[in-house]
This record gives sequence, C-alpha cells and structure tokens, in this order.
Amino acid sequence: MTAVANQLPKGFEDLEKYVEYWAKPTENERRLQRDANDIETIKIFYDDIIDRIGPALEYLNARDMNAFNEEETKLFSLTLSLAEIAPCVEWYNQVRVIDGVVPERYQVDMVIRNRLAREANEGVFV
Amino acid sequence: MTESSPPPFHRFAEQFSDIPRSPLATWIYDSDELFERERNEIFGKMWLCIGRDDQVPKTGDFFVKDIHVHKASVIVVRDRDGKIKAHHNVCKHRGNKVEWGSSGKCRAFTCKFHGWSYKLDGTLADVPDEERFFGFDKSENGLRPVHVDVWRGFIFVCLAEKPALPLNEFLGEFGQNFADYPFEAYPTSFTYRAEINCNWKIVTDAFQEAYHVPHVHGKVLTDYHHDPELHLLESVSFDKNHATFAMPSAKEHRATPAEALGLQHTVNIAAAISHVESDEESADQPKLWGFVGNRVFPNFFCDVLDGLYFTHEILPISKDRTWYEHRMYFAEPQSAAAVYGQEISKIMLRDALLEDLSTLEHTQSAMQGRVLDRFQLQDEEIVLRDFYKTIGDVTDMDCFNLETEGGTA
Repeated sequence: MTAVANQLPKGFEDLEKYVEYWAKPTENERRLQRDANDIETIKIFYDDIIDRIGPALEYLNARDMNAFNEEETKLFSLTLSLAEIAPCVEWYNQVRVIDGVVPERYQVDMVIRNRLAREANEGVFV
Repeated sequence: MTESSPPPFHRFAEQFSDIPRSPLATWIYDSDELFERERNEIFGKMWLCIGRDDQVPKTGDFFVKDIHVHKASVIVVRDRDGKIKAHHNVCKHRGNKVEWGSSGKCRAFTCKFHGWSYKLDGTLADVPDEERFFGFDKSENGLRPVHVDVWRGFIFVCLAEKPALPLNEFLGEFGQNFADYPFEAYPTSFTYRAEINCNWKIVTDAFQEAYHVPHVHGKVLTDYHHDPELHLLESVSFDKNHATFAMPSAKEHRATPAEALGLQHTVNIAAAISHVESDEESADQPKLWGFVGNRVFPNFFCDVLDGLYFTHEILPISKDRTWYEHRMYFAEPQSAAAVYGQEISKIMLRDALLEDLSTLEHTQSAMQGRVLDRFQLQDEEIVLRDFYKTIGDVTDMDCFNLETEGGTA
C-alpha cells in the first residue's frame, strides 16, 4: 500500500498508508475492498486501526459532519471501513460470511438520509 | 429471561389449538396449482406493501414497482396536492410504458411511443394530433388507477377492481397496536434488494421464527449462545391473517470491540435485538418494542425495536423466483460516531441476512427434487404454522395435506 502524505488530519499520520485503499465513501465500495482482500491483510488493517477509531470518532465528533474537509472525510471513511471489515475478524475469521449468499447479489441500492433534505444529503456517506 | 423454569414445551399449541401441529407438506413450494391460486387470491386481491412515503417526499417524485405475477408495472407518485397516487404504467393509447425509469422526479409522464402526456394525478393532459381521433374524450383516457393507501408512511397497493376491505380494516389490530410506534423518528433508510431463486413462501418462512437464530446467526448474534432461552418467543398474537411475535430481553449484551466504539453514540442492532434491560427499566413496567416482529400478510414484515426498525417486502416473480427488498431505518445521525454506530448495525444485519438468504435457495432446490415430502414444525414455529393455515384458508388448498397435492382445505 502506498502512503501519500497529509491526506488525513494531523495526529492520524499512522493511518495514511490505509487511505488509498480503504477511505471509500460508499458501503458498496467498501464491501468490494473487503471482498478483494484476504483475511490476513484484513487482520493487519483491523489490528492497526481498532484502537485508533475511538480517537478518530472523538476528533470528528468535535466537527460539523456536514462540512467535513477532504482530510476529515477520508478519516471518516476509514472509520466506516472498520465497520465493514470488523465482522471478518470478530465473527467469521474469514472475509466472506460463512456459507452466505455471495454479497454482490445483495447490496445497498437506495439510501434516504432525511426525507426533508433528501436531495442535499443523498450520496454522502452511504 | 427470568431464572424460572423454561416455558412449557407446547404452550402455543395449547393457546392456539386451531393451528395445525401436523407436518407441513413440501409440495407447496413447487405446486403450479397453489401458485396460481396465490397469484389470484392473494396477490391479485390483497393490499401489498410496496414502499414508504419517504421515497416520494415531494411533488413529482415517483418510483415504479413491478408486481411480476400480475405483469403489473405500477407508478407511485406524489401529485400536486401532495397526495400519493398509483397508476398502471401503461399508456391508454397503445399500451406502451409511460415511465421507463425505476424512480425519479418529473412534471408529467409522457409516452415515448406517440407522445401522449399525463399529469401526475394520471389525467390525460396532451395528445398530439388529438383532432384526428374519433369521438375522443381525454377525460376518459387517464392512466388506469391502482388502489393505493398509506398507513403510517407505508404505501400499500391493491390490484383488485375493488379492495375487499379498506386498508385500515385490512391491517386490523396490527394497524391499531403499532400506530404509536415512532416510525417518523427513523428517517434514515437503507434499501437492499435481491432476486432469490426460491418460492416466495420460503422467504417468508425465514422471518417467522427465532429457532434458527442461535444456529444460522451464531457468529453474529452471540447473545443467543450465552442465554439458551433467548430465542424462545415471549408472546404471539394473530389477527386478520397477520401475526405479531415478541422476543424476550437479554440479561446482557457482549459487544465486540468494533461494536463497542459505536454503542456509546447510537443504538446498536445487536443490543436492540437482545434489548438488554436497562437499569431504569423496572420489572413491573411493560417493555416497549424490545424486538417485535410483525407479519403483515401476505408480503410485508415490519420488525420494530427500540431505536430502529427494519422491514422485508417479498413479492413472487414466479413459482421459484422471488423479489426481496429489505430496508433498515435509523434515527438521523447527529455525529460522525452515530453514523459509525449505524454502519456497524447495517453491516451486522446485512451479513446476517446473507446467512439467511443462502439457506433459502438450498431449501427450494431440495424441495423441487422432492427429497422430502414434509417438514416437522415445532411449537416455537407457531407463526409459520399459522401462515400455512392462512394460505390454506385463502387458497382452499390444505398445506398440511401430505398425500394429495392440491388437496382442498
């Protein structure tokens, strides 16, 4: 994984190496990244970020989530990638659901964030 | 669960003595005759939930829903009066589709074939070369309407010429008992869709019992391992073909490290399913919405919890193909951490449903191979047994008759 510097807010330099691969804005993209990996690589990612997501969420909570800058958006996407891969490590010890339907047959295809501000918010962090 | 002895083994059989205890026949998943009767008596006559009003929040917002078994393409649209209307997606001129997309926003529906144009409320607005038709009256040529009504935001349609009951009566006690559930408090929704290669009833089976939970979802919902009685139903009730079943609370919820990071910021689905009793909750206070499953016959499940709810919409395509839509609804997140917590819930439930869905196609395959002629159902599968009694009553085909495919009820 290549690390491009200064893609994340200050204090999270140790996670820079994961931005390129894991900082994806939508669930379907994050799921594809999960699926394209092996469990060993995912475990390394998990071990590296599990203790960093608490501080990351604390940092992000202090900011307006509707006005994140590019660095904050990437950090936010990284936290959501933990949610995507946590089941592999915490439950299954493998990438895919055990004996499940292949995930590409079953994916998010509509997100409604808020019925009153639907157009403004649609497409963000799905 | 309390520390007392386990509930009686046949408690629901005693409570609901008219619901069969005998094995369920398996020809019901592969019968052309039964499917045809279901098509006519159920999907042709009953109210079907096909979405929620937040899919069409503003005037001109629409979506199109296919009800395959009746070759119906239904446009659901919010009109200029703010009302939700439903029309057959069929031009009155020569039957072409007037809307080709699956959802969107428009001012009018215009047929690409010859340019006939309809207002949102379905009335015919414009016909090119109108003067060349014979004795033509535009007011008689609006889009053919479909009966539509909305209960607490859920959109139901009925393909019958005239619904046997208005929606409120059709929903019965479910509609009354859940009228106060705060559906509007959960405006953030995620829709997953899949075509599943099995009979529609096999999909419904998956959501009508908790017997499978410790086994199919043993890795995800671990509380069910720690409390061997957690999967036993707390209560069951039936009304007008619908069913409500409540799940008990867990003593504690053991969150994983990734879950725990979100739990302090938003409700988490595993904790909500287990509905861990909080310190404030006293034993003599009724529990509200721990986990209550609702089967709204025939095609809708509305499972309400504390702090979120989710739904399943199930529509047959053919005897062995089913269209399935699952929606999860959450509160509007106020912080990044709340979004994270919801993402944990979303992925957990999504992965759990991937576990459910794979069982369904295997079952269909085995039943089409006629490997088994019957399923043994136990007392905790009471909601499922009631479902097949209901199917039998409605179609006049006894689903518990092992001998005669097509035997009358």
